[in-house]
Amino acid sequence: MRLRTGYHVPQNPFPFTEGGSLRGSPPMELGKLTTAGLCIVLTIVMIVVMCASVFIGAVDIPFETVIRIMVYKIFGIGDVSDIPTYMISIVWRLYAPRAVLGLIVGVGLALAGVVMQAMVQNPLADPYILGISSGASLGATFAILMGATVLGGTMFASFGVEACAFIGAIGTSTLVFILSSIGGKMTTTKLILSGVIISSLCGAFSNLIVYLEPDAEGMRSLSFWLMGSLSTIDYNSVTQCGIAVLIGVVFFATQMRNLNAMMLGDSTATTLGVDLSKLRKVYIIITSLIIAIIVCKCGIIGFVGLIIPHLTRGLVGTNHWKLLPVAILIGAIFMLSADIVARTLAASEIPIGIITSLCGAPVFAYIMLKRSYGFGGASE
Amino acid sequence: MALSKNATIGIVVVIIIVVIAAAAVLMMNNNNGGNNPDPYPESGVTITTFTDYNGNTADVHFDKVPERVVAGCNTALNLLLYLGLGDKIVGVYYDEEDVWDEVKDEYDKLVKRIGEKDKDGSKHLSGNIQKDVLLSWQPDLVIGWVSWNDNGLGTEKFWNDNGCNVMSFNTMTSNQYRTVQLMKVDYDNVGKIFNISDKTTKIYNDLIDVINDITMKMKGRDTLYYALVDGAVNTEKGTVWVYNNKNFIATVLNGMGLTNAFPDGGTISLAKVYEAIGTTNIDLLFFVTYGGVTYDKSLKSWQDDADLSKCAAIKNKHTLEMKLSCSYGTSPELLTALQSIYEYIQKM
Repeated sequence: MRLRTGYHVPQNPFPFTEGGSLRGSPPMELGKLTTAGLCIVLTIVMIVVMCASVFIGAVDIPFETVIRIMVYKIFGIGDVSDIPTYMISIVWRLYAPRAVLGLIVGVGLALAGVVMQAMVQNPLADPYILGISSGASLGATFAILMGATVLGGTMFASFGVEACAFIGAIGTSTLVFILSSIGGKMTTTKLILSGVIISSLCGAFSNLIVYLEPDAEGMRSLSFWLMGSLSTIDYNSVTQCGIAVLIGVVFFATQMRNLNAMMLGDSTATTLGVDLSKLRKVYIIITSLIIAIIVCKCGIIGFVGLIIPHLTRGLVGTNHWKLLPVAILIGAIFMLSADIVARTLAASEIPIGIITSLCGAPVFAYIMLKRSYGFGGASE
Repeated sequence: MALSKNATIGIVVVIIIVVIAAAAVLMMNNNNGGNNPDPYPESGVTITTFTDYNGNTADVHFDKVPERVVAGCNTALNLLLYLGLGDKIVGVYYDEEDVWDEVKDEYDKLVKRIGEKDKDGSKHLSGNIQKDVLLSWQPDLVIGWVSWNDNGLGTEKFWNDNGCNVMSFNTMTSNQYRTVQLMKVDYDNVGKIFNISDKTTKIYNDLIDVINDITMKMKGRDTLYYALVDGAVNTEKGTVWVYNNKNFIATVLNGMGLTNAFPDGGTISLAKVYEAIGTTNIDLLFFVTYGGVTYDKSLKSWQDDADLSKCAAIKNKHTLEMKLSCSYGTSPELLTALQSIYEYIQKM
């Protein structure tokens, strides 16, 4: 069988279950390190960075004190009565949930990035391509700048930024879903174009609200939210994000073959018996839920879902059996590291979206300019 | 043994002197007692504070007078220093204005104690603060500029769980018209919290006297159009940011008989500003200042624009600086700021 792009489909229709890459470049040489070995190394690095995230902060708390607090809180061992209450609060109520959340958000964004890129077969796809970020932005903009005017005095007045952002995110992905399903099959092109249309509409409405609303304080809150942050976090938020991301990880762990097939292009995947239209609908629902929850809790954190899949392809190739586990580990490490930088670089916290973009753009440029790198799939 | 007449008179005189002295001491003690504040209510004090800009509120309860206070805006800083509560301040953030002359000495003392702005180890920040840093200052009250919710510095409950109360001023956070009535609530709240209602009531009354006095004097004047401009002209987008009639200082100025040229405020296109200049003629421009937003930069951006420079206020050099804390109200600096505005208008 010959693909329209001129590449042969391997004799085994699902060769990726046994390793190897789709097309384009071979993965980076990692010596004799296998994917399993790489995952173990990355897991260790992730745990180290996660611990560093608990130990490092704007407030200097002795290493030993942090250990004592964590051991006491997790295992109930030891005595912390001599430790000032504020230190316990900082470690247990701020740094620890923040570290866990950083890990979860990194995993979620990387996972959604990998799935979106495979689903729409486009290297520029990121978790926000279906308009989720613009929908969430519209919701947040509405809540911060106009909520009081429009909702004041109604039962919805207590709706916070999070609730409005979530409704916006889910609302836009539903609209994209409906729009791309009109007229039959949900194709890649229809999905992307629907995302662009809905994003443009949401962007226009957000700008209209910003233009009309004379609230300087609100603008400050809004800009901070739009640039993303892990600062406003508690264990409830961690649990909500954790459940959504866990469901996503477990579900997509069963979808490696389908994701690989998607990368071969619509016609080939269909020939191989994959019901693309149905799969895309399910994938959209699951990734939308993951991203909507992350966005409503942490704002818009750009670049992670875009660059981590590319960075990982450069390391292990385009086979999702390798790509997905490595990508989510690198996503977690990247997010945790960016958060440490965001809260220690200056006296006041820098929005994490700025850090991820500052670090991500050069890395992305390097990967892109590497002559050997290829996206994989049939529509490169 | 009978006492002589002189001895008897002497004893009586001594007794009278002792009685008078004792009475005087008692009276002095009583007077001192009268100066002491009333005891803090046994049931404590509860106030209501806004938790966001959408009008949501929370009740905040105080069992005792706060002893470790963080000022999260210049309004709070000025008020605490003016009330003589500088010793209770353990940290400051969002200190983004020049210090008010009336509290300069107290401010200097405070800076000596908590450190200079943005220096290493200082508890004195010119900008925003991180939640963990604020916790490490161990406050029992934070009077902040930002909202008390998950998108700000954490909820009122989070801080309460950490032994700290939070509040924000009504004139800075209300989504309604920010009037002097709201300022009264702010002063009453601070008076109740620190058990110094007599002092806060006096400042409020003084402010109202100043406002009423100016309002009386302004009666009969021709309509005077003003604009409250925030920052320089955005030449890239072709817009200007102006405050609407809900803003505190706008409600005060309007009450004095002035007219806001941009009652709806917000981001105004330059075309609209040109139109306003051509029709209503803006007589007076206030440039709101804070942090890097300076009077000079804002003024220059108007002077540099060929059409904006035709504005009467620019041509006649009728421009004034308005500190953000004054535009938001509740700052006692209004006592002098309003007087300056009045004197300026008189000379126009």
